[in-house]
This record gives sequence, C-alpha cells and structure tokens, in this order.
Amino acid sequence: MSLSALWLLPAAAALLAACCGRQARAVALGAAAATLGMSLMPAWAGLDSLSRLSYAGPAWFYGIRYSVAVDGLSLPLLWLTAFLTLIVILFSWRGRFSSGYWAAFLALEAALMGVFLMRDLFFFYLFWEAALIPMFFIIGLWGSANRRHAAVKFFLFTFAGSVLMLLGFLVIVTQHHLATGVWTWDMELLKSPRPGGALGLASFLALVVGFGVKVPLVPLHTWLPDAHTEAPVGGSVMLAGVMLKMGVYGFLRVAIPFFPELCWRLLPWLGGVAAVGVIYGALCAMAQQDLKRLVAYSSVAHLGFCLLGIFSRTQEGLAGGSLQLLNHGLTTGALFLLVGALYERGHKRGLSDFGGLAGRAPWLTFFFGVSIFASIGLPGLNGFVGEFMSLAGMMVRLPVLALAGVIGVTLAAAYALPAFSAVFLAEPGEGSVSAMISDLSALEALTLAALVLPMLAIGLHPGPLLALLRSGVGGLAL
Amino acid sequence: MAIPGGVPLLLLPALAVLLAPVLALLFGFFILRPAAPRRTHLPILLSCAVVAACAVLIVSRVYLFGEGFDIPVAHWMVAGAWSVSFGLRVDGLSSVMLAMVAVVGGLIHLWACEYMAHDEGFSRFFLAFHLFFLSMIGLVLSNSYVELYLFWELTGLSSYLLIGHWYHKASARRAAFQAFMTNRIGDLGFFLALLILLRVFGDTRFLTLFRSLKAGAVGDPEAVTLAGWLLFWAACGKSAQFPLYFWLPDAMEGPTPVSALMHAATMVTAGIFLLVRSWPLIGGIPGLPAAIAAVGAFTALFAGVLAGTRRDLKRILAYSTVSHLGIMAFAIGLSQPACAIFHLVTHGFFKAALFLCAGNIAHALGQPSADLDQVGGLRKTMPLTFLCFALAAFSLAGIWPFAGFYSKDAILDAALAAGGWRALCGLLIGAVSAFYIFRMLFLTFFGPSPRQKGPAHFHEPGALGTVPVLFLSLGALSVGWLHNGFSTMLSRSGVPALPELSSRVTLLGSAAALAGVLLAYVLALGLPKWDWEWRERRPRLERWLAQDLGVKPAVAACAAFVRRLAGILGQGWDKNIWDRWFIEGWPPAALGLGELGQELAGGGLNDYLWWMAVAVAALLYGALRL
Amino acid sequence: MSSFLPIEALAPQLALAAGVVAALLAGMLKERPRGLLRAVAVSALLAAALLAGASLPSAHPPLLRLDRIGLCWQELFCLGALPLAVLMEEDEIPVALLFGSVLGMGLLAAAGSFLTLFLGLELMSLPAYLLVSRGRREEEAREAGLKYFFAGSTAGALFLLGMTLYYAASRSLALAPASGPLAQAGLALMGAAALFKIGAVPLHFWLPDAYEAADPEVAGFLSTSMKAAGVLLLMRLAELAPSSALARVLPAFGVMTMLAGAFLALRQQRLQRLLAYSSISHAGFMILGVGAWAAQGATGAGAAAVYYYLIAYLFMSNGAFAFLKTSGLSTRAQLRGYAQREPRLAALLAALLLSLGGVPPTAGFLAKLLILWETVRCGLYGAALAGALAALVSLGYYLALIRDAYFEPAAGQPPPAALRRHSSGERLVLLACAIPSALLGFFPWLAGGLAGVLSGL
Repeated sequence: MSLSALWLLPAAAALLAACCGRQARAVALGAAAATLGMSLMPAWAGLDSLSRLSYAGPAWFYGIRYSVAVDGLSLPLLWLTAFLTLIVILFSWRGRFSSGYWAAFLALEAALMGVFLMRDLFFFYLFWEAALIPMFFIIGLWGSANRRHAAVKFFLFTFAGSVLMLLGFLVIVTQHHLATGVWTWDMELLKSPRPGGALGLASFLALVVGFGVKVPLVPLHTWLPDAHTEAPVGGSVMLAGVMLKMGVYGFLRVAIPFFPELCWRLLPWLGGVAAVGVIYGALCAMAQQDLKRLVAYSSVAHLGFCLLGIFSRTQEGLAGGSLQLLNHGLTTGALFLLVGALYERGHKRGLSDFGGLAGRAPWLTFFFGVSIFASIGLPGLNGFVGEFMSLAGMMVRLPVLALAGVIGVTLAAAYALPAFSAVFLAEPGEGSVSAMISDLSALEALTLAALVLPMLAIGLHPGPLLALLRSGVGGLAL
Repeated sequence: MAIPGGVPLLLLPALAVLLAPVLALLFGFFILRPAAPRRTHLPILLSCAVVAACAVLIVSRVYLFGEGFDIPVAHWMVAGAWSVSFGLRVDGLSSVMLAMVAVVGGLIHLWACEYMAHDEGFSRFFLAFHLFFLSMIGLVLSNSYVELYLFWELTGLSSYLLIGHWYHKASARRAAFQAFMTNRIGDLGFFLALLILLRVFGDTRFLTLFRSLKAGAVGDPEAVTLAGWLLFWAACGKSAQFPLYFWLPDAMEGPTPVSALMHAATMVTAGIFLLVRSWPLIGGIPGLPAAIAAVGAFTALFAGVLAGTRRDLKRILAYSTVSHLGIMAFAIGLSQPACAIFHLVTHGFFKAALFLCAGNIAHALGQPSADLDQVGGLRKTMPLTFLCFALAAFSLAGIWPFAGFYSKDAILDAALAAGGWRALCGLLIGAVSAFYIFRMLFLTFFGPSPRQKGPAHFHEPGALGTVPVLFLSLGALSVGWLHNGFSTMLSRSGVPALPELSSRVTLLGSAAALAGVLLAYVLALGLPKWDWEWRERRPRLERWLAQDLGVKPAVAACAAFVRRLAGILGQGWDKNIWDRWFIEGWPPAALGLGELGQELAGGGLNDYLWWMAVAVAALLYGALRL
Repeated sequence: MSSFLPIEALAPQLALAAGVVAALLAGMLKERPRGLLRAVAVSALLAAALLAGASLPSAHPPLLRLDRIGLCWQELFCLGALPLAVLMEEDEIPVALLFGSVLGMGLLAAAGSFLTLFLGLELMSLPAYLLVSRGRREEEAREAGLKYFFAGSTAGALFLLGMTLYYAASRSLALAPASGPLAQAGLALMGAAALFKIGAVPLHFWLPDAYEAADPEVAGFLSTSMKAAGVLLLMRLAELAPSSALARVLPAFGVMTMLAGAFLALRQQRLQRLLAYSSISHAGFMILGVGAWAAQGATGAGAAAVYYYLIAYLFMSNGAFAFLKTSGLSTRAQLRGYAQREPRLAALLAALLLSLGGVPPTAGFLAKLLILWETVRCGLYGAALAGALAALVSLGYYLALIRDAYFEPAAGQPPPAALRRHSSGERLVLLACAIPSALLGFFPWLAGGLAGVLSGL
C-alpha cells in the first residue's frame, strides 16, 4: 500500500492546506519533503525489487481495477515530480500566497504522482485529467496579465486531446472484450489482442493526438507559450518540468506498447512530426522577444528530441529519450525559476528590459549561464547526453530525421546565446529595469544549486540513471 | 575504471595532466574567486607548471622508449550493447601536441598575469583561460571521437567566454557569438559524423575504428566517406578554413593572451589535429585529400593577400593565422600529415611570439590593439620587442635556419613533388607570407613614415611581459632543428614521416621568401606613403578588401535570412495565423453557431408547436419508412 | 378481477398520498410551528423512497407491473424531489403539488398498462405546470407556465393518439410488444411525447423559458426527477420494440440534443437559462444512453449506465440550482469576483460545474464515460465522437463560469438578493449535492453495484 501513499499524502495535505490559512505554507513544505522522501524509498529497497511494490485492488466493475506499480521509467519521473514540487515550494517561500496556492500545488503533485503510478487505464485517465484542475487555478489565479485567457485555453486544448484519447481507450477496451470476452482496463493485459485494421489505426491516432497535445507535438502546441508565459513561477516550472512529460510518458506506457507495429509502420510520420517540432521550436524561439515564451518554445524543441529517441525503438534511443525527459525537467525548471526571479524583481520579461546583469547579479548570471548551456546541449552537461543518445538511436533508423535533430541542436545555440547576452551582458538600454534586479537570496541560490548540480552529475556520469531507465523502457526496443 | 592488465607507468602523468587543471579550476572558482579574486591565478600557474613537467616527461618517454597506450578509463553513456566511454590515448601525435600546448600555454599564462593585472574581470578571465587549457589538453589526449567532441565543444565554450571577456563592448559580444555560432555550424558536421561512425562501427574509439578500417571490414563505405567529408567540414569550422574563417579576425576583440594562445597557437589547430588524428579514415577516401589541399591552398593565398592589406596589427596576425592554417590543411591535402603537425608546432611558437609582441605594443598604448598609423620606428624605444618580433618574422617567412623554414620547406617539397598547381601555390604562399610579415615589420619598427605617429611614448613592458616573449621567439628560432627527432615521434603513431630536405627545394623556397621580403621592403620603406595613398586613390577597392572580398556581407545576409525565417515562422505563422485562426478560431465559431440556433426559435408558443409538428412528422416518417 | 390490488404494490404511492393529506391538514393549522411543512415533505418523500427500495418486483396484471427498473426509478424520483422539499418556502400548496407530481411519476414507473402509463404521465405533468407558474417573477412565471401547459398538453394528446394506434395494432392495453406499421406509428408518436418530456431538440423550446421562470429549486426538480421520468417513459417504449424505428432513431436525437444544447448554452448570460440549456445537453447524453441500451437488447444490467447518469445528474443539477437559490445570483456579470466574497460557496460551485463538465475525478466524468462506453460498445463511433465534442463545448461555458467567479475582479455592487444570510437548509443541500458529485468519479464500483441491482441480482 506504500505506493498509493505517494499520491494520497499530497492529496490529503492539499485538503489540509486548503483549510488552514497561515500554516498552509508549512504543511506544503512538510508534505512535499515527505513525498520526496517516500519516493526515494523504493531506490534503497533495491531497484530489481521494484515489481514487488505493485498493488492491485479487486476488479469490481467491468475490469476497472485500482492498480499501482512502479518501474524503471516511472520511478525517476516520480522523483522529478517530488523534487520539482519541493523546489517550487522553497522558491516561492517568501511570496505572500494564500492557502489556496499551496493547496493547488499539492493537489497538482498528487495528480501527477497518480499519473506515473497507475497501471489501470481508467485511473491513469482520471489522474491525467485531474492534473488539469489545479494547474487551471494556478495559472488563472496567480498568473500574470492575460492569465484568464491562457488558463481557459490550456484547459480546453488539453481536454479536447484527452477526450479523444478516452474514446481511444474505450475502443481498445471494447475490442479487447470482443476478442477475449474479458473486461479489463489493465495496461499489461490489454497489450495482447490489439484492435487491428481501420479501428486500430483510428484508436492509435486518437492516442497520438491525446498524448501529442501534452508533449506538445508541433501543430498542437500553441497552448504552451500562452500557458507558460502567464503561469506564475511555480506554475511554469511544474508545467514545463513535469506536465509536458506526461505526454511522452503516455507514448512510452500506452501508445507504443499497445500498437508496436503501427508505431513502427508510422515511424516516418511520427518521427517526422517530432523532427519538425525540433526545428520549428528552435526557429520560433529565435523570434521571441519575451524570455518565458522563448523558454517555452525551447521546450517544444527539447521534447522533440525525446520523441525522436523513443520512436527510434533502439536501446540507446529509448534510454536517451527518457533521460532527456529528466534533463529537460531540470534545465527548463531552472530556467523558469530564474526568469521568475527576474520577473518578481523587475516585473518585466522582455529581452530588452534588462541588460548588464552580469555585474549586478553574479550568482543569477552563473546559474542562468549553466542552465542555458545545459539546455543547448553542451557536452559535459546533461542536455548533451540525452540528445546525443536520442539522435544516435534515430540515426540507426532514419538518418534524415537525425540530421533534422542535429540542425535543431545547432539552432538551439542561435536562440539561447543572444538571449543570454541581451539580458546579462549587453548594456542596459532605456526602460531597462536592471537597477531593480538584486542577486539571488541564499534560499533561491540553494534551490538552484540543487537543480544545477544534477545537471553536471548526469552530464558526466549518467550510467546508473540510464540503467534504471532502460530497465523500464528497454522492452520496447526492436 | 577498466584498466587492463599492468598499469603503464605513463598513465600517471597523463592523468595528472588532466587532474591538475581540474583541481586548480575548482579551487580557484569555489575558494579564491569569492575570497581573493586577485589571487585566482596562483593555483592556475601551479597547475600549468605541473602540466608542463608531466608533458615533458611524457614526450621524453614516448620519444626515447616509444611508450604509449590507449586505455578506456570509465564508461560514459551505456545502453545495453551500445556504449560510449572516456579513455586516454598517448602516442607520438598526442604527446607532441600536448608538449606544444603545455609549453606555449604555460608561457602565455605567465604573460597574461602582467597583461591582465589591471583588468577588473581578472579572476573570471583566468578561470575561463584555464578551462580552455584543460579542454585543449583533454582534446589532445582523448581516445575516441565522442570524447574528442566533448572537449572540442568545451574549447568552443571557453572561446565564447574569452572573446566576450570585455562584454561591455558590443563588438566583443557580437564577435563572441559569431565565433560560437560558426564553430557550432562546424560542429554540426562533427555531430553527424559521430552519429554515422556510431551507426557503422558501433564504437568511435580510434583503436578499434582504425583497425576495422584497415581490415576493410566497413559495412557502409558511402557512410564512411560522408563521415570523412563531415569531419573535414568540422575542421573547417574550428580551424578557420574558407568559408568558415570569418570568425577568427573578429575574435581579436578578446584580450591578447586569448588571441595568442587560442586563436593562434592551440585552439584553431584543433581542426588540423582532428584531420591528422583521423588520417587513416580521411586518407582512404578518394578525392577528399585533394579537396583539402585545394581549400587549404585557397585559404592560405586568400588570407595572405588580405593580411597584406590590413592596418590593425592583431588583424594582420589573425589573417596570417588563417593563412598558415590553410598551409597546414594544404600539407594534409598533400598526404603529408607529419609536415602539417610539424608546421603546427613551429607556427604555434612564432605566431604566439608575434601576438605577444603586438600585445606589448598595444599595452604600451593602453589600448586592446594598435594600428599601423599609431606605430612606426619602434626599434628605438622597444628594442627587445623588436628583436623578438624580427626572430618570429624570419621564422614565419621560412628563412633558413629558423623553425618556419624547416616546416614550410617540408611542405614545399611535397608540393613540388606533387607538381602542377600545387607547386605554384606552394611558392606563391611562401612569397605572400614573407611579404605581409615583413611589411608589418618594416612599417612598425623601421623609420616612421610621414603618416605614422612614431615611437614617441612607447616603452618596454615589465619582466613578466618580456621573458615569455623571449622564450617563445627562441623557440621560433630553435624548434625547427628537432625536425628529425620530430618525424621519428610521429612515425610511431602511424603517420608517414617527414620528407628529407633537398637543396633544390631549399633554394626555390628561399628565393620565393626573399622575393616577398624585397617587395615588402620596396613598398614599406622605399615608398613610405604608398600604403596610405592607394587607399585614398581607390576607396572602393579599399572597402571591398575590408569586407573580405564580399565574404562578410554574404555571411551577414545568411544570418539575416535565418532571422527573418524565424520571424516569419515564430511571429507571423505560429502566433498570428495558426494560433489565431486555426486554434483560437474555434470558440468564436461555436458562439456563432449558438447565435444561429438562437434565431431559429422565437419566444412565441406557435413556434414551439410548429417545431413539435416537424419533429413528430420526422418520427412518423422514420417509423413508417425505415 | 379476483382480488383488489395488494397494498404493498403501491406502498410508495400511498405514502405520498398520505403526505399530500398531511400537508393540506398542516396547512390549515393557524399557528403551526415553523418547518412543520418541510418536515412533513421530507419525511413523506423519505418514506416513499424507503418503501420503493424495500418492495420486491411483482406483477399485478392488468394495471401494475413492478420490475427492478421501475422500483429503482421510483427511488430516483423521491431523491430528486428532496432538495426541492427542503428549499421550498413554507406553503402547503406547492408541497401538495410536489407530492402529486412525484406520485404521478411513481405510477408511471409502476405502470403495467398504457392506461396507468398515461395516468402517471398526466398526473406528474399537471402539478409541474403549476409549480413553474408560482415562480418569484409573477408575470414571467405565469407566461412560462402557460406555455409549458399548452406544449405539455399537446404532448399528452400525441401520447393518447399514439396509444390508440398501438392499441389498434396490439388489441390490448398491456405493455406488450406488437408489430406492424400501426404499432410503429403509435410508438413513434408516444416516443415524441416522451422526447418532449425530456426536452430533446427540437421539442425543447418550452424548457429554457420554464426553467428560467421557475424558482431555481423547482427548476432543479424539473431537471432531475421530471427528466428521469421522461427517460423511463422512453425506456419503457424502447423496451417494447428494441429494434423498432424509434429505438434506431434515438441515437440521432441524442446527438442532436447534445450538440444543440451545448452550442445554444454558449451565448447565455443569465445563469438559470444557461443551466437550462446545459440540462438539454445532458438530456442528449441520456437519450444516447437509452439508444445504446436499446441497441444492445434492452437488458436490465445495461440500464446501469443511464441510471448512473441520472444519479450523477441528480446531484449535479440539484446542486447547481440550489447554488443559484442560495447565492441569489442571476446573471454571469453578477458572478464576477464571487470567489473573493464567498470562497466556500464558490468552491462548491466549482466542484459542481467541473462535475457538470465531466472532468475527472467528478461523478459527471464517470457518467459521461459510461454513456460513451455503451455507445462505443454498440459501434456508434460517430455518436461517441459527437458526445466527446459536446462534452468539450459544454466544458467551455462551465469553465467560463468558473473563470468569472474566480479570476475576474468583482464588478460593482452585488445584487440585494445575494446579501441575505444563507439558511442552514440551503447549505446542507449544497454540501449534500457537491461532495458526491465531486468525488463519485473515484468509485466506479458504485456503477457496478447499480448494474447488479438493476439486473435483479
């Protein structure tokens, strides 16, 4: 039952935090720390014994069964969620937020933990959608200028994709029943007889759209810049750090295992969309004048790499792609924290609104520099390992997509460095708020150090993490 | 740490060479930078000393006992059967490079202590400078392409940090970004080559890769050919070959030690090192060496001509570096990698010396770089700098018995042996390089021409400023004499040895060089005002030459095109068309539909009943007909 | 006719009849204690529900036939009327009308022949017309009540015509399957009357005016119990001939109603009218559910999806209308910034709206999922897609309400009606509706239990 505690604790803490006014912040910190501790526990119990922790309740109604389990893929994502939630709570410690703010983040953590724990399609979908509610309120209540529009757009856009995905699930479950006479929503059991023919293709495409909206795949990505720009600091960190991973996790956990041949046959299309996403995201990022939108579009590009790796279905591609999930969580999380810090001090996000911060805020510059170079894939930092292995995997399958990926890597420097030099190195122009920007406080520096150190660690020694991830996704390799 | 069997003694210095800079950097960054920024350079100088000592030890062991090893040290990325690992490889080639980097790097570190003494970013400079030092050492010692790519990119990062050291200057920031992006475009080729090699061979370790190449067990020959061309493209990016050379002259925006060490002696030669290291791969690809020779020759001549028309001292030396890199590529193209490496080493010494002299001159003026108008007749007030500059100049021009002569002569020998356009280019290059270096020498140190300010307020720099320069210029004088020792070293690492010097070649080479010197003498001293007059007479030619014969506008046009494409895609399409119409168009459409529905039924009762009649009729029709 | 009807067959209806008498008597007392009427109403309804739950299926030809579905629906009617009983003002006439209407529904549920069916139908409709016309805004309520009456009586007439045609074909008044064009036509006409009662498009025009003019709690009752009765009537008809034209055309009506209801609701600025159109959209889902149920052979267990939808909708709709009564808000503009004024009530509203929108983990989500599941099971993929689209569009305006309440700054003075203190009864009803609708999505086994109950396990 201990795995269920991973999402029950934050959910209960969310209710508690919602009720008590002033101590909400303390409750949030305690719950987040406890959840992180508990999520680390399976690691000490030995990684090979992960399967022992799974629990499956009775199947009462048409095969729907509350079953939780953890494996090499979901464990790191659970760590990432718990880790980023703790970071966000620490980072917004000094902000005067109402109890609703802390409750919303705990509810969000509960939902996200649920997504990565559930092994039953019904509950997977239930937590998948439930995560939208807290994020909707986080963006809507504590966002910036036109947060209302961004919150509603975010909710409806993702809901549209998810409803389509639900229909896909229904078709899969029904066809499974027709084929075997057994009602089940369990991810393992549903793999065997797959709906073939046009219905199979239709349900696969429904899944691709449902997950694609979340990843985001390029044509379905326009909710991302608005949601990231308008969300508060914590909101955009969780949005970019974890919620984008739900889409790729969905591909790894549901779409590919359920339709392995279709995934293989449609590789040029799926890989093509991911590759287009990489280049499109980089080019769009180059055209942005708002820091948060720039980082948002860069997320589109980075997750394109994850998909390139995963669709290649090679050992290194799968391991690299899933590692890139965690890398992106760290680098983009750090970038959004820093941009948030700038916004809190100067209430501005434009590239031309700052300038000359290197002299004024050295620690802010250092952390921003490391995160920027990690995100453009400088070898030695974590971005490179993920991207390199993903592209090595895709090169084995479709070299032209690997070429697109490499062009994406090159373009990454083209949008990241001018932004860095405009904000930190250039002279402050008129209307610049650099005078108001003070350096990071000790607490903020600590949280960012907690994000930057793993970047270097993964960059130089990704071995253990890769082994863990491969134990989760290795089976999908062809 | 997978070290097979007995641990070769040589591994210890090799590890020390890598660990010393790392420790110095960590100590400097975390302890000295916050506490005593002004003393950050102390651990760094210590590490330079350790590196230099170990380098000498390694070179001597390799030269005397022919030792060497290629050992995987640790796994880096592992995914089942597929894996990439860190490793160390010490052989003739890497030990020679290591020695050159250690010695030249160490001297320039010393020189930088005095040059950068008054700079407010002192500790930041030294940390970045030593990071470059570490990455160059790592690059030289790495035993696989992926590891080499790691340090290759780190050199790119440190060059970005160092060129942009005085980041308050807009030109420095632009030059830093331009350097990084151009390197990055070169690295695009390297990245692709890595992926191809991994796909074909499954491992990019030099040992296994070249063994299977030699054994002919190549699964996909076209892919290997493409990988070879891409490696050449990467070398062009890093070693400033045409068309990716334009970032090097702008890189002079950085402080002089940066220009001296990185953009003259070591970093820019990484590309040449890459080509020589992958010679077994490149040598076997039909047409590639010829292309390398052509590009090298063209770059050498093109940059040589431009160097002869520049006015800023450091810019002249920058174009001279591009030209000499072209010469090295030309040597590789002539299937003489040993000559290329030998020239690389000699060039490292005399070019570093020239840069430091130019640095001393500019330092005396208190400016980052000096212009020909501001100097003239300096031999009276800066005799020692004049001596060092002259030694290095003679070496560059390739005049006997200077180091440049031996390496350039070896290349000329190969060029003449190859005959045809290669021979002509060999001679022309000799003449052109002699011309521009002596033009600079005469205009700077001899009789100030009427247009120049003269040697009024120039003075010799302090001890730290002159001692390293002296050493370097002595090196520029003497390094050539070790050439046969040199060729035995290189031959051990599977690279064909240096050709023997023949008197015919020496004669021809010296004649070409003397012709260059004579022309420079006539134009610089014979007609003192010539250099300024022709610029006034033909301003259009002046501007055309200033724009690198049209290359700079072309590059600017490409950059503008990419930005406009991004603008069209990012703002125009994504925000205003796709997002506004296709995505955010749905709610208004739904509202419109709702509006339409509203008009259908008014509030009146008869409307209700009419609609009921319609519904009942439909149901009845359905019931009776279906 | 050997014996009279056994008492236990009509026990729930008798309890309600006793309730009517008690209410009228209590009304005559001069100084009666406050809340007496409310106590009578609640106790009578609870008694009826318990009796319905306790009684066993039995058949008493020719007039009555009590099967599992009928009994479960009776419980539903009583539960649906409870919030109205609690929230109604202290007046014996509306209480009596309420009992009359619920009694009619009970009869309809227990009907064994067309006579009792029609009797139940009329008995439940007439009090509804009066309840609507007793709305606060006199003039508007009377007009809406009149319209509702005219349209309702036309539907009743249609039902009668259908019944006679069916009788012509089947030669007996019993609810027995019959074939032939006459029977099909009869079924079609009766089906039209049932669709009118549910408020299916294009027979829905009376609904928005009636729901808007009536008091919110009355509208809640109409949207839950009345609609459930309509659904039951439709199921009885579909049961007669599962493969008849009516059964086959139901999914089309369902899709039309879902989409039209959702799109029309987008424009509404008045909250009650918006909830009216949203209830039309939900009716579309119910009709689709009945259509899918009929297509799969109208088994008892199959009705679980529709029954669960009705239960979930009972909580959500009654909760939403109860919120309108408690908060006194009438237009979306007044809703702006409500969360700052009343955080707890706004939280309940948000839960209800999310449940109406079908967002997990709410009851509405599980309800919509079951209906879509049944639709997919019988292969109506187009209808399932339309259901998804309708859910999405409906979420649009539910989110807009939440956005107005939470994210918009309060604009101007709140309406006077919103300033009075909320009575404990109102708060109790709101909590009783919001909590289950927010969390039922977590417990799919509840729907499983229902399937078991309905199929008479």
